[in-house]
Amino acid sequence: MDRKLLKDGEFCPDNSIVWHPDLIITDDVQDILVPLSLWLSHKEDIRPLSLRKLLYILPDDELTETEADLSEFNGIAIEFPGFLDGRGYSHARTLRDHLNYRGEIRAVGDVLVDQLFFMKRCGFSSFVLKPGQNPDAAVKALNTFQFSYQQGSDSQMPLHHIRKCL
Amino acid sequence: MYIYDDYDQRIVDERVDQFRDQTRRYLAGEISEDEFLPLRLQNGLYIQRFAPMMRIAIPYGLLSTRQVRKLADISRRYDKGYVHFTTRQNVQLNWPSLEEVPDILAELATVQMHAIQTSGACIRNTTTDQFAGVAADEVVDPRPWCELIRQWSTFHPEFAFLPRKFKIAVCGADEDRAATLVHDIGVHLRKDYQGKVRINILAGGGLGRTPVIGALIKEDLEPEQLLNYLDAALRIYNRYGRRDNKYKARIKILVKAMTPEVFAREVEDEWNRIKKISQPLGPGEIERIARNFTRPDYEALADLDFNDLALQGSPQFQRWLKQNVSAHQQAGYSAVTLTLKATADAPGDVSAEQLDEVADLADRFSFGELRVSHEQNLIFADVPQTKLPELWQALDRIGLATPNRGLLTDVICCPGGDYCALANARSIPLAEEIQRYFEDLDYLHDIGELDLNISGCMNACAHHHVGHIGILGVDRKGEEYYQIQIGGSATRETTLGKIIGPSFKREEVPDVIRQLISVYLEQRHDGERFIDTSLRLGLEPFKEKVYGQKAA
Repeated sequence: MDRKLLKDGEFCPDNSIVWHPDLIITDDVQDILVPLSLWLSHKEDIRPLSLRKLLYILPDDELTETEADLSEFNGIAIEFPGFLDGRGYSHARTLRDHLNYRGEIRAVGDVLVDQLFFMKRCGFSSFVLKPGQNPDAAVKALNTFQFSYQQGSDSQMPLHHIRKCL
Repeated sequence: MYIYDDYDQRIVDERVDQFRDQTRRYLAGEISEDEFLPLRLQNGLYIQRFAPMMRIAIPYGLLSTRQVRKLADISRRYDKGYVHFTTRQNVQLNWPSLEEVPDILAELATVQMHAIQTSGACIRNTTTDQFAGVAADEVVDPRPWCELIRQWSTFHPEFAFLPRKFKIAVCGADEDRAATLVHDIGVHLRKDYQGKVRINILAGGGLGRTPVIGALIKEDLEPEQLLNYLDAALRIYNRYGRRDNKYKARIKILVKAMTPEVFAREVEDEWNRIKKISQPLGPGEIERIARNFTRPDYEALADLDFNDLALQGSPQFQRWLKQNVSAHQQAGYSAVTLTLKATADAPGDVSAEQLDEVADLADRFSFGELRVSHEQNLIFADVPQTKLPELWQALDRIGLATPNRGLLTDVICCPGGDYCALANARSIPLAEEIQRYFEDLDYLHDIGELDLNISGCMNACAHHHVGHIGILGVDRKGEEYYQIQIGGSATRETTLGKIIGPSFKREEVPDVIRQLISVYLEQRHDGERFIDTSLRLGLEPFKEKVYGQKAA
């Protein structure tokens, strides 16, 4: 599988794997994605693992159940089962705005070039592109618009604040 | 009207570049058909029955004459020389080619227009009262609030992939001319006892397969919190709206399933969280936007006596004056409706030549601006009453003085099976047959106010549920049939029409309407409109008339 992780403007191979209790971890695995439901039932098995751990959030999950545990993870991965399912955007914003999460938020699943700008604005900081997406177009897409009208969960100021400062 | 600053212009220009690049990558095979679909929809591009169809936004219905001339120019260069005004204050081209759409968008951007989010599962064009800013019964001018919502909803990063489309309508007058009760969110602007603007929010209204009247979920919202509150409402919908079934994905289904009380509570909780971290809208920004909607340079004029004015003209002028001219806030001025409902013209269609002439007339008579209404008509909002006879003559020459606003022949009609791939039946030929059948103007004016809405399918683009008489095209074993309902209205007291019985063949429909009207004419009380009589009497006498004793 040729999946690429785009992070801080650079690409590297995506060596993550979804954790489950019978998983045999090979040498090339760097990150494990821990599904929220399994984390709640297998915390004691997962804690000792000496790998980078990302909490893996599915669209139906409720983030409030995880608040206390977020600091145990190196990052959070939010799944887009299909690119038309927009629930992941609200999850990212809830993490950034309400749970004050400052670590890595990674978009995984059906992640396409033309949705990256919205993802970035909702607080995603890394992206595992669907195989076959054009890497150059992806980097360009992150900066599609120089200004935005609304408050997002990224560092961009909403336009009405910029206008006020003039 | 709102004039773009450099930032607004840049956003629209960058959008053109983005879609040009996306179209190029699609044509090069880099983007799949499925992946391109929402990208083109959010730029207004459908693939219809015969060709692509392109929907251009007319934010809350306002157009400058420069924009009108550009639309005429685009329709000549890229299409067949006419445009279609829709029931949602948008305008459509019926025959553009996909390859040329980026060029059309670039042309639109030169006059501060776009096709952003005119389709797709996102927040659509915000609509309002066509008499915004001039209506005699207005409490709060809705236009600055519409523009705020337009900016907030434009590329809102969180809400580009909602469960389904999302429509917001705003109303600031006593009478609701924006059908806010049948929108996903209705925004009601009012003033408190100190004269401060306060906002009531309704949610979960809608038509389509399951018509529902919106429920009040928030009262007396401070305007500085409007966008934060909308963020909260949309987030609850985005998270919990159904995504497993397209027909159950609108917010109305969620509000109904949760109950309006629980939905309102969820939104309130989310809003309280958002308020903690998101600044309210500053008064500076509200004022900056409001400055774009100042009153035009009115002359000091006195109101004319319309009885005197009528006597100066022909019977046609008199009818037009009575029917198409509306009250205004400013003494000596009136608002004039140009109905796009002349018999034999498809409702809402206007030729490029007419557009150019309309632009010239709007420059001469109405400060260079016009409006589009959800009834698919055009409005000159600021006409000096002394100029009405001259304007009427000019409009009559170009076939746009049909004196039928609000009457039976002012049909609201979707493109139907002639253009639309979703339709079960054609609507335009039926509208024309009805217009021909009821050509007698004395009879029409005697019937008085009557909203007739014709939709070619359940998607209800012509809002047939809220027509005083609503007609729905249905498919019966491959044949076009029409189901008729009565008693619907889209006002403050919105009602949904009830089906009178089995459906009819097209050629039967005009006479059925005549029969329905005959019941009204026989039984109406003084001053009652068709809708009043039909609600008072209920379905039975109408059914009996149409289907005979056995159905009753």
